Amino acid sequence: MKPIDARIIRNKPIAPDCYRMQLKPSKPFKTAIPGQFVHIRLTKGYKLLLRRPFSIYNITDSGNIEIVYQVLGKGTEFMTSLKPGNKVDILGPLGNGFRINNQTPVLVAGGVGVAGLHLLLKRLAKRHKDIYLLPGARSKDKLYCLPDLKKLCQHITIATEDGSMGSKGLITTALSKFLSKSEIRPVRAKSEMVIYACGPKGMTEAVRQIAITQKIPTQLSLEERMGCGIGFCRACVCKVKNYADAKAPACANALAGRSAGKQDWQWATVCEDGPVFEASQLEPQMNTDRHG
Amino acid sequence: MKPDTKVKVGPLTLKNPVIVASGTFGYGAEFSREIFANINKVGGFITKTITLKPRRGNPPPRIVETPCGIINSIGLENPGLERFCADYLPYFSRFKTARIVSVGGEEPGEFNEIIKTLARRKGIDGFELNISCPNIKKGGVSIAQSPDVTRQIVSRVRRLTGLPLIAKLSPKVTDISVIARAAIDGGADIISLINTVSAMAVDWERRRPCLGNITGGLSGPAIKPIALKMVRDVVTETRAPVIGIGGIMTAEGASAVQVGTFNLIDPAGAAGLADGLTKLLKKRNIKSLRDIIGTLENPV
Ligand SMILES: Cc1cc2nc3c(=O)[nH]c(=O)nc-3n(C[C@H](O)[C@H](O)[C@H](O)COP(=O)(O)OP(=O)(O)OC[C@H]3O[C@@H](n4cnc5c(N)ncnc54)[C@H](O)[C@@H]3O)c2cc1C
Ligand SMILES: Cc1cc2nc3c(=O)[nH]c(=O)nc-3n(C[C@H](O)[C@H](O)[C@H](O)COP(=O)(O)O)c2cc1C
Ligand code: FES
Repeated sequence: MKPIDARIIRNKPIAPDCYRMQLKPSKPFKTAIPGQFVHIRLTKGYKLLLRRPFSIYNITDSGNIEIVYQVLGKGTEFMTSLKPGNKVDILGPLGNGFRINNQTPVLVAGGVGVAGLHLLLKRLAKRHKDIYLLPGARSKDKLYCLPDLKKLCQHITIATEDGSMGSKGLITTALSKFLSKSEIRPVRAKSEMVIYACGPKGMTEAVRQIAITQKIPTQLSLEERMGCGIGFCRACVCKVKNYADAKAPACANALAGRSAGKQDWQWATVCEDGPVFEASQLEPQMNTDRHG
Repeated sequence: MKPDTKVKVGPLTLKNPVIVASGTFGYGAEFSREIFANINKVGGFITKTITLKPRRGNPPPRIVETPCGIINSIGLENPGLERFCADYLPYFSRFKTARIVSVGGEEPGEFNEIIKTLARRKGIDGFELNISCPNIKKGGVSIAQSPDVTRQIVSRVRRLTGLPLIAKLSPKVTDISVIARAAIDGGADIISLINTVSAMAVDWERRRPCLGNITGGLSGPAIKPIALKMVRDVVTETRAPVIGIGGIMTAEGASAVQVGTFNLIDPAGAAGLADGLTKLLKKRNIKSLRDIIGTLENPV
């Protein structure tokens, strides 16, 4: 895995604290699996030493990458100052993404988590007529990318914590309500649907609990502080069930041969084994979100 | 003509002085062909530290960025000796560079057991004794803080192997040259320094430490001046062969160094430094790196 140069093509705000950036890599990105990410080195200096991970929001026809980022700290603050023509250095596409199947998709996004679901939605729209999307955020102005999402999906259920748009409360509460009303018309059994979720730790953990209690196949994209982004340093771990017991097909594949024997749980890396995991594979996750 | 970048450090001959530091490149297994080629370009490759039994390491977050550095608290997560031999060693031993296994433990006996097993295996060119990890509770740093324990561990291991032995020291001591002397007396061939510097970072908004383990080890450019001073202390006091570690991100001024944090930022970085060194020597018309090593002069 070699880092490649990427030139900024566009970098514009799409909300008060959120930007959309298009990058032209020196080698075009031919393909990426939804849920994969790029790891961006912002400067060659000694400030902002670590790379920053961002989901691939979109790949353009010419092989450019688009990301959508929320401005939170030093790195993303710096990113807002990047101008078309400036260069950064990227590693990617990295990690194991979402797995698409024929089950009826229900997508749940928390805040900027929509950035991790857009490419998936785009791919799903090619095979599914009915896709259900539940985006949630603190407030209306943090519901990013809605126009893009509306183009790809007709069934959108919104929740905001302050009630400024959609129902008032957490998106995971909205999800529970949604599931209990079985609004999903073509679906007879819960096993005929699949939940895809991306968002802050507290939110993905809540979705994991819903998935387990209601026995719904669910894929979660996790976040963790990263170093290398490619499995060298073991910084970005999350707790998973012993791989040997994990029945989930695709992810078990990614983890194959790495079982640590008879332990009841073990660490997996978010960068290499994830970021997408089957809910059934995960142990309860601690919420260590800084900005959560 | 291609300049000669070969260096000798104690009994180790390296094709160039750039060594991948322990813990920043895994074990070299499962890597792509590209990574394989990169490792073959560097002068040496040191595995993540292995211990006798598997270790799970610390809870996340395990890494945080600080000014000009990072603090990590991986906690020596590793698969243990048995699985290292079964799953990783066969691949590791194929690298065409100096293949060094980093060995750690909570007590002296652990080092012995590991070396005893590994000394019988092929495809290893040396050992680095990690007596200085700040991220484990027992042993770890406390070993490298005691000249007696350091001497004892090294001398017991020395009897078990003829391969080059590197003792990796912690900066968390009052006089590093005393510990270096003890390691050399115990039979170490080379001293490597420094391991990370004990440190912590706080997230004032959440009023919490940034790391799951609360404290960790600082690495990166921030520690380079500390490392340089300690290397100087050890060299002037003991004349022992030394490998410098800490904050290396460029090729200038290298004699024999380990590169850690930079691998996390750029997986092709260490290989790039090795290439860069060749170019630098060519540009300065230096035929052999050995001609300039040890030529740093004290100001008069
Ligand atoms: C796989 C993955 C995909 C992501 N995709 C997106 C995306 O599409 N859009 C988006 O806005 N954000 C995304 N994030 C979160 C994003 O990486 C962080 O918001 C960003 O790194 C913050 O950097 P900062 O310097 O502004 O914040 P600071 O808090 O100043 O950063 C300090 C350090 O913490 C790390 N960090 C801080 N918050 C997070 C976090 N939530 N997750 C991981 N590392 C963090 C930073 O990378 C940096 O190393 C993703 C995270 C992961 C792991
Ligand atoms: C993520 C990470 C993991 C590390 N793991 C180990 C380890 O297992 N054993 C060890 O001896 N040193 C370990 N180190 C220390 C490095 O080998 C090196 O001594 C230190 O990082 C200083 O060098 P640097 O500034 O180039 O990173 C680790 C460092 C980092 C950043
Ligand atoms: S960030 Fe290094 S292993 Fe995931």
